Amino acid sequence: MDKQINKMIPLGFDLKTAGYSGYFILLSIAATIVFHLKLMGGSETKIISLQSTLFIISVIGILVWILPAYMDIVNTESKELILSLPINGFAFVFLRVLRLFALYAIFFLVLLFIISAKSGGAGLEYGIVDMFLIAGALFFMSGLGLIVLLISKHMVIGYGIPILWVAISFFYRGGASWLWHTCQWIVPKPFESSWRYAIAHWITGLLFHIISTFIIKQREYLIK
Amino acid sequence: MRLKIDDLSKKYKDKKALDSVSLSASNGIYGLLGPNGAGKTTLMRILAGIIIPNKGSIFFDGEDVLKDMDNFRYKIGYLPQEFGCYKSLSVKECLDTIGVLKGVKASERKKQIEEVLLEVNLSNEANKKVGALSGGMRRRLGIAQAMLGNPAFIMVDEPTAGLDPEERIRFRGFIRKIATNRVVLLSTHIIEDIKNNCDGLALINNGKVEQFNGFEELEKLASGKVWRIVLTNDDFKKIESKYRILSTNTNDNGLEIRVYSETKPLEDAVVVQPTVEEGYLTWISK
Repeated sequence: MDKQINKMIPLGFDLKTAGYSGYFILLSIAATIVFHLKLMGGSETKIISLQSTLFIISVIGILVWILPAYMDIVNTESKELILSLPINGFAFVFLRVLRLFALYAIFFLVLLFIISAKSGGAGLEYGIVDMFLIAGALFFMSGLGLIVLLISKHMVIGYGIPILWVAISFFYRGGASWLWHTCQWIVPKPFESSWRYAIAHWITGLLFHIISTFIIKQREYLIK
Repeated sequence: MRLKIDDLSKKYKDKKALDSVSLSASNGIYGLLGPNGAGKTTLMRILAGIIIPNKGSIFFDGEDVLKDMDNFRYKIGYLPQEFGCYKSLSVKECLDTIGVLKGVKASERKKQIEEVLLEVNLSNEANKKVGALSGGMRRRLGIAQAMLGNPAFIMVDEPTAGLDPEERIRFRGFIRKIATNRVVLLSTHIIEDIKNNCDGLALINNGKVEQFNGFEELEKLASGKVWRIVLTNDDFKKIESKYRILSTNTNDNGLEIRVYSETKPLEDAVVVQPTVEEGYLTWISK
């Protein structure tokens, strides 16, 4: 275990790598909430608008937060050196993403909790299942972005496919996304129970991260 | 330290990138010279554990590298042809990150980073962002990261490509400095990079490698086949398509040219001592 921790890139460096885009997402989330709650009141239309904005920012935000940390593995200028290093897949991918994800998810869920506590019955209350589903959706998106990035070895595709998935889920209201209906938490919820959607997102997210950990060891594939 | 490569081959679909390559190198700088696309990078990538050969063996200090590549990676310092990672980090942070990935202990990392920065003359740039470094500085940072963890084997791929003459000369000095007590494999297509700087030499072309005992041996390949001819511009036009012209030089007597030819090309041609470049060209055109 000592060796694993020893091989973790310092968190501060990862946050720096995310650059201004990472901080921009956090600011956008905060600004959106303040804007909707303080300036526009709490009518149902506004609540749906707030949730949709939050949703779009959060799922795209998780990509912008995590993928830059792996940009060097697909960038032709840097990947050859990184692939020659004695990378520990578990520390380099799994633990590292988990750490970034936890930071993002905690920030986002705390914000939702505050909204929930302050909204006073305006329809913005989030229960445990909702929180579980929202965190699961973020975890799923992080895994999807990472696995697509590593398979395609292309940054634009790494962002593009997950965003396309979100668009399908959002506009079809779960019609074409089966158990991976990433927008199930937006009011009005298209399906009664959120549990199975939450579990599906968590399991698939976990699977994507495990496969990504495996792909990072396929150096010959990544260098091509 | 001793590197021994035996019968190494790598094939991509129908193309043989490396064809039964064998060579050995001991402590010091070992030059690998060949034109672009000759197979140098493929060989480097195999030695760096990035790609897997179809057949052959690599031994380093008696250990079978291909059987335990995970362990061998800790002994390698590699500067690839393209180096530009962690551009948003400072020089020091970039080295710290690479040090972490190389498994250098936190207690040793700071000291090692200071040492390598001093070695490559980048101490004053330690807090500068990698993205803001000039081409020459970036190559020096590349050497610094290769030295982290004190590897026994360092590989540098085309280290002077894109550098101005002053940086090139300085860079060769750095390479010479780091070659003490370790094997340094320097791959290049620029003869000046290895001339007067390497302890051993191998040429590579079309995936085949030939090892030489020194530059004299390489020069000898063209012995008796390089001719000096002094002629007018008009005469030059008549013969330029017939022979392989190696160099041209204008002087008071007219045009002095060096020609590669198995037989005497012209009546007044004089056979001359070939240079390393001419030996290299002879080998390449075999």
